[in-house]
Amino acid sequence: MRMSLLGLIVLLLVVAAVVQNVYIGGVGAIVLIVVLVLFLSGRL
Amino acid sequence: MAIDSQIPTAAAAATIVIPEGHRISWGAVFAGVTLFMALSWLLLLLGAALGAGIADATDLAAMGDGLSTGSVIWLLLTSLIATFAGAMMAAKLAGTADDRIGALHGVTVWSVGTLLIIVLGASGTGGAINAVSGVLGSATQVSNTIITTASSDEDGDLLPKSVTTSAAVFLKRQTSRLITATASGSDRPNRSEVRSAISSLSAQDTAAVASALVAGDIEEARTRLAQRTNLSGSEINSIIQGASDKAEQWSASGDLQQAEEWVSEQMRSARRSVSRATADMAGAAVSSREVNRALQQLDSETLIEAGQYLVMGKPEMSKNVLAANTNLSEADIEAIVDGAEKEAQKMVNEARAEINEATEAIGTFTQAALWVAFIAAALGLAAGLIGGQMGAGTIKRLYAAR
Repeated sequence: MRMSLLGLIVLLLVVAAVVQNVYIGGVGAIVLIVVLVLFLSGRL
Repeated sequence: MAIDSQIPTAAAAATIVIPEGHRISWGAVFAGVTLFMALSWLLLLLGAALGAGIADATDLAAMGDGLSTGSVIWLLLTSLIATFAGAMMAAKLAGTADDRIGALHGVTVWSVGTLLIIVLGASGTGGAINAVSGVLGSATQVSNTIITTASSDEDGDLLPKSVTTSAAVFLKRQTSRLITATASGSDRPNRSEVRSAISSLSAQDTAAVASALVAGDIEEARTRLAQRTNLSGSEINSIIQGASDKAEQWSASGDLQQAEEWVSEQMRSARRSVSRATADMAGAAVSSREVNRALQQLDSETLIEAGQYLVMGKPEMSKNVLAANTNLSEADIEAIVDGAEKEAQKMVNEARAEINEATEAIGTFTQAALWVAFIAAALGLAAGLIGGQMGAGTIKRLYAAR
């Protein structure tokens, strides 16, 4: 679960960087931060 | 902390001691960060060798297009690989079987590594180790370079010094027009010839023309001659024609001094011949010597100072400078400054447009660089989590039901 979510985020960020799309990158970064918070709080 | 490999039942679970806290292994984190930095450097070198490095900071047009796709992919790969490997190493060295602890070590490697890159970037050495730091450093460096070269110390209006020099040339040209127009006698000298006679290339101008010739760029030399002198098109053509034959030889030898001497000699001979022609045409009323003498009052310092005020849009101050430093009459000064003002304004507007273009290119590049740096940092965090988790072994953490 955690790994697949992180894999999806990595994919999202790579696509955002290559197509230089701020919105995709922004969503990717926010999801990453949410995942980090969930991970640190032990919910993920 | 060893955990019973047997699946705990509810009764047995009560006997398993769950550690209250986990000790971070700073030694493992340090080793992970070391690997992260070393790999960053290694990949930076590889990227440079493959040509997927940072855009050429001297090519403004290329910078205006932002970062190339190859550079972006390489920067992201560098961040992913280096952080993943560093995090995995830290988790393995920490010796934990808990994938959560491993992932936390990975995040710590990423955060310490990022902090280190920021510190190194601030001290100016980050670019030598990390590609992302390098791309940000080059954006800053280019911004500073362009602002420094574009800005003028005197007028503080972000305009290059060549604009002031050009304004001084306009003033000189106007003066020559005035002297020609006011010369008495039936046969007035041809205006363009008088202008040619009195125009003189400074050492700086000569060097600029010569460097274009040595570079083999005949068109650039022609443009510079046209911009910096009052020579007519045919005169410029004859000089350039002579130069194009020799340009190949100068280009091969790179002999700038020889080219400079040649340009100076050509200019001197052009001036001598035109001065003679002017004197012949003007007769007793005005000779080239008189024209030159009148213009000698306008020394270069006075012209530059008056030109600066013109560039700053203060023609009154320009007139004051001319009045204070020359014997020209008030009416003459009025005519000179008013005539040169329009040309100077046009030149200022053109220079401002160029600077705006350059600033826009820097802005595009900086934005692209910051964007890639952000994505690379975010990817590094994800890679740290994944690497740490994967480096921690395969035993899942067991929670006891209380």
